[in-house]
Amino acid sequence: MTLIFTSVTYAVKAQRLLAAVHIHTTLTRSPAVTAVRGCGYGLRLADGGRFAEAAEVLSRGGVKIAGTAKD
Amino acid sequence: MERVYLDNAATSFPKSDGVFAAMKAAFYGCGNGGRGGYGIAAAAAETVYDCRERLSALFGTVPENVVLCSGATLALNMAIKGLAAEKCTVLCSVLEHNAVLRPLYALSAAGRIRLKFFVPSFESGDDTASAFEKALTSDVKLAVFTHASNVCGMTLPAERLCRLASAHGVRTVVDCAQTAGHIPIDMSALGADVICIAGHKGIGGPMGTGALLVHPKRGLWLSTLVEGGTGSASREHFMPRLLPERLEAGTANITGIAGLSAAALELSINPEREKELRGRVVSGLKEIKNVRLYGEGADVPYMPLVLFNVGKEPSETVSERLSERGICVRGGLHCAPLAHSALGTGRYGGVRVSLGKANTEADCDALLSAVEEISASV
Repeated sequence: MTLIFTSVTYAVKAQRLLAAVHIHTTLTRSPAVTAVRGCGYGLRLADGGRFAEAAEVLSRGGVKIAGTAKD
Repeated sequence: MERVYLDNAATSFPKSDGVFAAMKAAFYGCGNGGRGGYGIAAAAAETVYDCRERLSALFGTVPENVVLCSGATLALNMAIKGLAAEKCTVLCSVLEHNAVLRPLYALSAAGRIRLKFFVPSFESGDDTASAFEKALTSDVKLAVFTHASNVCGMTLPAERLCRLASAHGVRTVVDCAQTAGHIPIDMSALGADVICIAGHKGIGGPMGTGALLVHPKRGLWLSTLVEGGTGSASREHFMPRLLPERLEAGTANITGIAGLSAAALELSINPEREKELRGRVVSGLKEIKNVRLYGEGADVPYMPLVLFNVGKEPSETVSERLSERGICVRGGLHCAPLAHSALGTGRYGGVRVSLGKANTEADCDALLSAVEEISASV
């Protein structure tokens, strides 16, 4: 599962918020990310099963998820 | 001849080894941040975000409200041109640097704004606040003022001015080029909508770095000054709506940003130490015959800058004679002609001494003996 963000700034911010609660991710620019708005950044969740938890953490941290893509 | 560097208001010197090491690491280890997902591009993105995080922690905002750029001049241009509404009146002080004055003159000459000045008092912060409030007429929509004069070091009561402006519905841009890194600045306490900082002065970063920082809780809409690639939303015709990318077109200065980030991390703010050294210079200069000091009001705080002249000697002549003795200071008008007019030094300018973190009592004493020698010969 990949979470998509509108910019690299928000992707890195999201990555750090998630790392703080031990949700590990990798920064990516896969085609799925580009498809959303024509270039953006994604975070690939190491454990896709933690998507709901990750979304909750990001919402609390004020980071909007622009879209999601299945790997 | 030993060099005594006293021109820290132009740029801090020397820079630290830690700053250089961070720049070197970025030079060899970073690609273009925000343009790819591979290792060295991701490393660059991390480096840039580190810098945003450190500056936001230092100035009390959030990382995404830190717009990185080439210096306070570009930051001020972006802030002024991004916030000045068409046909509004913009209020600024007579102490401003040309980085504020010239963008405002350009907007005014193009018929886009009306420009209005207020005159800060060199004697009292209360009088400055009164002058500012009187000038806040209903047509004023934006106020731009310096946190501290780059000519004489006098600080303005910025918190009070921001509060007054806010009460009148006026947006504020504060030029913190001479205060950032010298005194603690918290955007929430200050109340400014935007502050503009230089990375290479009080903070100790490399030249070619600076930032525009937006208040953490105010949703500001800034028009763009420069448009281009951001590595995001590429199909859209216009710049992204969100900061910081909205104001950051093109490839970032990653090595510079890495240096600025290292400088922000190792920064230690010690205004008392700088005040002590400034006091030593001021009291020493007061004892020297033919020396005249400017802007030395008792009731206002000063940054570690001192402006003086020796007799009727042009300031550039005195600066040159100090340079012959290894002392680096700056004469002339310091890109702030109206400030010099207000201080009575509009014709020949003044000799500016600006202290930094590396300066010592011995540096102050070396300056004083050199000025004494020059004074005795005029």
